[in-house]
Amino acid sequence: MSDWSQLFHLLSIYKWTLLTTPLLALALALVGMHLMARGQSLQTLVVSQGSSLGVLLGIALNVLLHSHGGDHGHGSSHNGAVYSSELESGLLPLLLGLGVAGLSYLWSEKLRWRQNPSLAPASLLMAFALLMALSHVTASLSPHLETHMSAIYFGDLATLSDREALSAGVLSFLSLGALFYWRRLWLKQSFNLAVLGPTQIPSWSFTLLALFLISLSIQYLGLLFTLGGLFIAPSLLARRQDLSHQAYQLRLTLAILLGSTSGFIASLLWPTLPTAPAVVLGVAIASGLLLFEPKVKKLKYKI
Amino acid sequence: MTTETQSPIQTTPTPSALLKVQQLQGQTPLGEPLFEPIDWSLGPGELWVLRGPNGVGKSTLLKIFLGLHPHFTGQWDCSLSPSEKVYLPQITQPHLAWPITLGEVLALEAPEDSTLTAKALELKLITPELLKRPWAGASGGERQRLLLVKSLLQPGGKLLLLDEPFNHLDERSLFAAHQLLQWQIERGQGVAALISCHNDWEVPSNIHGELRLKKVKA
Repeated sequence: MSDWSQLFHLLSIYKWTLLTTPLLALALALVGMHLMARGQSLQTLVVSQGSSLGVLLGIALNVLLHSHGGDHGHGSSHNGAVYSSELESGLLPLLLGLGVAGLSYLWSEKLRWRQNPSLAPASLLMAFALLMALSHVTASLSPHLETHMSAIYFGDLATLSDREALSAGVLSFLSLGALFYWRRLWLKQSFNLAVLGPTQIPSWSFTLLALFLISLSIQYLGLLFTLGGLFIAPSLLARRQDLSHQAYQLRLTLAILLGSTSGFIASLLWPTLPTAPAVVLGVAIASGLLLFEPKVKKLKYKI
Repeated sequence: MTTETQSPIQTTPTPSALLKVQQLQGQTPLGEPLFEPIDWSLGPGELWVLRGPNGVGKSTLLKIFLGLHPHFTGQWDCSLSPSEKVYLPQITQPHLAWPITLGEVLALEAPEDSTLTAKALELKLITPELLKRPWAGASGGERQRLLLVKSLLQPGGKLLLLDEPFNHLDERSLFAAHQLLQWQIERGQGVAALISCHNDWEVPSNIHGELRLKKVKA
């Protein structure tokens, strides 16, 4: 098989992952844009770590339930890989990921608004470190969980099953719909929070969507993809403060679509290249390129 | 008509008052009293100026009316919902994480009230050129002018609580801002405003009264 036909063959195998990756990355970037303006970037680290812990707990519970199920267990008839994938992709890890992310959010909100605001960044990093320690303790309960721990941190797009990729893709598409529908309200809230300060309580709808997307992304694609998707393109492109917001969002969309797709394809072409880091680096390169625009010299004619 | 009143103010509360306070005294989070107790009311279509020395608690009083500062004694009553209160705080953090033009900022409010935007353009408080400028490149005064218009544009706003809204404005912009504010109050839509100011030249010419806060003597 030629290189091209091999690539097309791979693309046909990973078609749903190829479609889901940019959709989820775009939804994350649009959410990250708001989080950045609302001063919640550091808080997102805590929430993401909380979600990772929740997903791990969900997998641990799945392991426990399946081991008690014995031969009648749901995954017992499958081979190891499928069994592992089913443990990760079940509803329980997503729900627990969302639940612990929600609790981490409430905790970090308390830490952010304590009386001495200068303590907030250090307090948030303390919360992150504690949640990270708890995640490692949870993972050490079983050798099976230690494998999942690595997947939760660094992710692997190539191991997503069609069912997982499709469900994540549909949920990302719906999230993008919500982001489009409430675009003006959420942008207004972000602007007011950034410039006027916390004088108005923002609606819960945005927070819920952010928590859901973070949990979904951590469960399927890992912490690296999630944080990269949330902040790389929005923060790099924000260096162009001379742009209109519309132009900024257009560049953001292009950077995500081009960067994530090319990053994923590159990881298919070079199998030693890990998928999630390739996508993250692809988005960073595309964002960097879109910072610049070709300067066209205007010709002056003398009549 | 302009009436200057000293605290504690004894005014007959209007039956349809939007805001009524009785023996209200703001405190610091540590429970120390800030200003002498006040009795005061604000009716629809009224424009009041809030004055007093630095640190007396003008911003704190506005935050009490918004429910953002729970440290006070006495009573206050407001017949409006939170969405009907418009607050423009003093801008201390003008930086934004991402780019946006001043026109896009204005468009974040519902664009139904084109009359107000037209009036602001007519008074040259905002100009088409200004609306094209990026937020990051605008001066403090240009941002303040835009934020004032944005506050007045907020849909359903009945009570304007503006904390030093004329900061950074030059003489011409200040005059235009006064005119726009008074035009909005006098439009007959029942909008009322309480604005804090420091200097005499910042006070609009046609106000209903001044609410002066006095520091508690140590």
